[in-house]
Amino acid sequence: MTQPAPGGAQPSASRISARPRSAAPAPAGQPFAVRCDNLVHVYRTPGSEVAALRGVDLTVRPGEMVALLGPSGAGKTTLLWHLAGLLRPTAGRVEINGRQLTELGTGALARFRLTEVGLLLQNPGRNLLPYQSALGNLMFAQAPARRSVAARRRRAAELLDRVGLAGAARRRAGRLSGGEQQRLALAVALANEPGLLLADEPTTQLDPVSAAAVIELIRDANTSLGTTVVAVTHDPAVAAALGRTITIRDGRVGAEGLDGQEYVVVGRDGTLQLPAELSDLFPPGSLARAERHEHGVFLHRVDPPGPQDPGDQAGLPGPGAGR
Amino acid sequence: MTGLLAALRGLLHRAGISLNILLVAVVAVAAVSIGPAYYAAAQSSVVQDTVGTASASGRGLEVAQSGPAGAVSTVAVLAQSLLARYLGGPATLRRLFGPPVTAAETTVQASGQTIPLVYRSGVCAHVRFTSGHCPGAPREVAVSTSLAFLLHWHTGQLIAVPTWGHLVITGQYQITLSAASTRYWFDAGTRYFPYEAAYGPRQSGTPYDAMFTPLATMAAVPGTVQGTDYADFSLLPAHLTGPDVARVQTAVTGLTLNRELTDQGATTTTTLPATLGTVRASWRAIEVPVVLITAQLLLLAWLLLFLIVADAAEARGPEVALAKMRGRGRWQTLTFSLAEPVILLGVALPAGVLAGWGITTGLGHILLRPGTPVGLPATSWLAAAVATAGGLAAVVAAARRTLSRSVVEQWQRASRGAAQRGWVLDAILITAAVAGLIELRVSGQIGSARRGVLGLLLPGLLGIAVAVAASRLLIVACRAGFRPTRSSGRIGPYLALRHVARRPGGMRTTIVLATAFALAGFAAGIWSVSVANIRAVADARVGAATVLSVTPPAGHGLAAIVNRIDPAGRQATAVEEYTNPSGSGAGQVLLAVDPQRFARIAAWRPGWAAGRPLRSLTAALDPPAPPPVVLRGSQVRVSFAARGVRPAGGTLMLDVYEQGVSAVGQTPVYLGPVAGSRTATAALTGCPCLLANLTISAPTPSGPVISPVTVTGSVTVASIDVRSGPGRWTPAGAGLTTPGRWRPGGPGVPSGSTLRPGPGGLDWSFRSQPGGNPSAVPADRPDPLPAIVARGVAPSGASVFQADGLDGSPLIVRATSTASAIPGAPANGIVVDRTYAERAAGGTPAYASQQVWLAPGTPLARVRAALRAAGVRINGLMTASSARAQLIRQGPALATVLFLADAAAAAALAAGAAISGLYASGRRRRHEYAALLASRVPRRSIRASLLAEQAIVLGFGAVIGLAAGLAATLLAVRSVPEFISQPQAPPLDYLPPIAELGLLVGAALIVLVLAAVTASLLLVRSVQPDLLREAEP
Repeated sequence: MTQPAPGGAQPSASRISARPRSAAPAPAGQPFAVRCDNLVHVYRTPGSEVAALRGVDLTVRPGEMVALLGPSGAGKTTLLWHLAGLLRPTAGRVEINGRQLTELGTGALARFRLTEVGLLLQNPGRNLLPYQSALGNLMFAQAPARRSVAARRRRAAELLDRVGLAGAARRRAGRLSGGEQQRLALAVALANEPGLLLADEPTTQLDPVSAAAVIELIRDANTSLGTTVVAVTHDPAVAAALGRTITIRDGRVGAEGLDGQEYVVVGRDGTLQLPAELSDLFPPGSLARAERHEHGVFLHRVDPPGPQDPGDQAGLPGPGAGR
Repeated sequence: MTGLLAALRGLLHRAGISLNILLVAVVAVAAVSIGPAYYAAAQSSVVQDTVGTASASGRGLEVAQSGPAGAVSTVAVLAQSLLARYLGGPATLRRLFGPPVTAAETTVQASGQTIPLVYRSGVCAHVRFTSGHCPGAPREVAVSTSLAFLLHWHTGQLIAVPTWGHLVITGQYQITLSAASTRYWFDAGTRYFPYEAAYGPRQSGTPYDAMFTPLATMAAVPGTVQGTDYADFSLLPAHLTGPDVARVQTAVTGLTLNRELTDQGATTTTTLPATLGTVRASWRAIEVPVVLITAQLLLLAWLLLFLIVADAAEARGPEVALAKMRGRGRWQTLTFSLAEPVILLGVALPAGVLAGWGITTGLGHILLRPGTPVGLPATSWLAAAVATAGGLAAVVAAARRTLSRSVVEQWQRASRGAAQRGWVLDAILITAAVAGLIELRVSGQIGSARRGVLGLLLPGLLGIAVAVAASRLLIVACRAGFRPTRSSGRIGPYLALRHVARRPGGMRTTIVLATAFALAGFAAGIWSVSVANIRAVADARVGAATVLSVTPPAGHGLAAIVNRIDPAGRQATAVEEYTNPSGSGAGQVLLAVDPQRFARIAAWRPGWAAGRPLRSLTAALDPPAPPPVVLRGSQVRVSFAARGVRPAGGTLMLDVYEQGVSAVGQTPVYLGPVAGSRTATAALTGCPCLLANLTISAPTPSGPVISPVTVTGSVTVASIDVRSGPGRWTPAGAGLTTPGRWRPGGPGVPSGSTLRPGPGGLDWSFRSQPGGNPSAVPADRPDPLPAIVARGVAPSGASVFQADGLDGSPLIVRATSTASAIPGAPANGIVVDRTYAERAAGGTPAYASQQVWLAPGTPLARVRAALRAAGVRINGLMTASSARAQLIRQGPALATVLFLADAAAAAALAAGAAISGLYASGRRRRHEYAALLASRVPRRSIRASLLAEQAIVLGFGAVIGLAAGLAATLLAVRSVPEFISQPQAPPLDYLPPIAELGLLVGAALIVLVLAAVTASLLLVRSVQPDLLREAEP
């Protein structure tokens, strides 16, 4: 009956809650670090269209760390690429630090990626130029920023030191181990001191020690620099480390975990996605009756009239029911 | 700087593909730059060769002005300044023309004779002084030894010249005929030395050789004395280059028409325009092949560079995406993404041009006139730039994609698959190829660069059109193979077919390979045809591998000497040659040969006689014939009985040929009146003699009206005996009683004459043609004489016709066979048996040229030594190889070698394309193969799959390409000039010789297969499952 909260906590039924999620206003004078408003993305291929995002509403506050969870093909990576300004939405808006990405031209987007976003791709090797040294990769990442070479070198040395690769500065990236490559890729993503770090499966293909190191580095960036972090992950350790989780299912925000609590999220059209654990109660195609409750809504499965007795009732607490 | 370093590191990281692109680009650029550079050098070589071998007036010009003697400096200075102006400045004049030779000519009366007095600049360096010295002061002269001898002059003597004082002889000179013919004299040698040079010193005769004197003497000549002043300008051949021809032509025209000169009565004499016309004709003949080759190579280079650079740029998609992801702006991304190919092309352009220049220099050393400068004309750079533009076009296309594609698209490398390729390109190429075919068919020839562009590009267009169309079939065929290979359970063939069908790079490689092989096949085809034809023409013209012109010692037959030197008759044969100088058969060449030896030694192609070997033709030349009648002695005695000979008063006579090389013509031996029975005796001189005929000479008609007389009657010749001095009479062996030993003689066969041998001798009844004398001749040779005849020699195709014998007298021959070419006299040769031809000519006439023909591989030194030892003088030598070299030095053949270079370049580019295709897909393949290895697919299956894929792609490309190339060869080969003027014979063969072509194609295929197999094996060897840890490309 309950959805396990990321991080291993086993929430009780009372903690399964629903939150209305429709681009909530930011606190006065403080823009959201990330705000997606009814974000839709459709991939078009010859002869077919695939809706990867079907109206995502999401806000992330500055300095917050968010893990995007969900099954493969749910649209997590697509959402991440939107946050990095790599894709143009089919519909909806993406706002990062108060800037509408849809309104930015190519040049402005490039500057945005340079100064405000650090992106860590899924495979460590994809983040690096294998023929460049570790130092060279960091210099390459900073090249478009208008800084002196000396300043770039200082920054690179500092980052290498922070990710524990000071001794590997001259080694070619292609010859580093997987863990080293991922740490270097993280350093590269942080090279231009971005306000938003986007990471796609930052610990995949890494051994536990390397994965822990990477998680620690991400947390460190968040605590020491105030970097907002959004990470796509399947790794419970990462999800636990980041605190807030957003579960994407079928291109929508299906659930959210916060402070150990797991909530289903009510979409702007009133839809909500029941946790998978409840699918035995509400198999696809089943009918349900929704009844207003003082603090929410009760859902009752209604079986079609027939020789059998009406079915069991199942209920979800309304907003605030679990609080 | 950081960007440049990053690009260089990237190039090093992709060393294999970078090096391959660089090599392909260098080869492509070098290949296209060779043609223009070679053309420019060949132009210089041709102009230097042509001008260098021209006569004095053909390589220079002479400005002459008549008037008072001694005004030489005026005309020379004027002509020089005008020439400099027309040529574009004094520096060009000095470069192209040597210092002018100035001259002033007049005549003086001395010792009662009119003698030329000549000033000619630098004359003393061109005559040999036998006494005294060069005249240097006014009134000093040098005279020829002949003139001094004739007029009893001596060095130091004063010669009185009426009206203007005296001259002093300071020296006597001699000059030979050859020295008087040098260009310094500008054809004036015959005018100056009619006597000294022609007859040698101390000979009598007139007119008189020139007296040479300094210019100061001419200044002292009274103004009333007339003379002619000359300024001779000669081109310096070694300094001439192609572009100079137009300059010189302009200058010559300008000088000839110059008003200033003509107003002064000066005239310009030159045949330089004709020489330059010959030069231009030769250039035109080179131009077509050069432009043709360069156009094909440009097409191939464009295609290849475009595809491999596009592949390379495409392969960098993820890196470019990374750059964009890291916030690089448009220009920074462009710089980053395109720096590598631009650097490679930037290096390849000068490196390729330099390589092309190096190759051209090498070719020039071998093929062009020694010392011909090989430069880098603008056209070479232009061709190189156009070729490089193919790569740059790919760079531009890649730049467009880089800017327009999103980062995500670049990660996904959303390029369209092979199957989605549009039909537009195919349609354009096929249309262009068809248009080229039509143009070629309509015009019948491939034009130069200025016209017929499609016809010019036909081979390349055909190759590409066939390649792109056929590559679709390959995909269909591979798809058809999916199911069987899948069900067979063997993963190798299945993977191979899928790779070919699904991977666009495979199709690109197929297209490039097919195009490259089409060009290689075309070039190799044209080259092999050209080489074979040059060889055939050279062989036919010379006749054998080596031909020596000789003079045998007096009284000795050359054939006997040659037979002693080469008893086996496989290395040497004697040949007599007589060329008809005039008349309807002018130019016909009679070759008198030993049939068996000739068949073994002469150069021959069965195709010249409908596939027949020469021995089957020569076998008919020497049917058996009775021996000749040879009179050996100092007297001859003939017993005969004449009956009813009309008109009365005729004379019986014998015509004999004195034996010996100096013998010329028949000698009559008169035996007295032909009446009654008698025995006549006559003296013989110079014998042994060959009896040519027995003739009844009719009496000379008399009276007011002379009408042709017919001689009739009969004579029985009982015996012909000879004796030497007072010795015994012995029969001459005339065979008077033997059937077949005698036949009626004379031109045509007199219908009224019969010869019947009987016990009493030869019964001869005759009735001559009106005006003719009846004759009986020994049947010592077939009549008419069997001959192998060049097609077209026999008038109206008659098999029996009259030719000229070795002595120039009429010889009736019967063509036993005709050939489209005769060795030694391709278009107009008549080959007959030497023995019979000599009998017909009465021996070896002096008119005939004596030759010794040698088979290939015969040691020349040994034969020469043996001939000299036998007293044979060797006058000259001609070899088929030197004739080939001479033909190769001609314009069109000079370009032939370019086809070979073209074939080599195309093959190299094909190999480069194959490797490039492999490398471009290398990273992705390695990941796939690593995954297969991790899935426990045996490495040998992967290797087999890759090799099978390469075999399909390369084999298909090679076969399709070669077929297209050979088709293009057959279509275009007749349009490519091979000779400046098309030889009348032998017939040129336009089917590529299988052996040469097979050799070339085989070599190219071996290079290709080795390159592809090596690259494939290395690729498979480098695959490890650990690769899966790396990012998927």
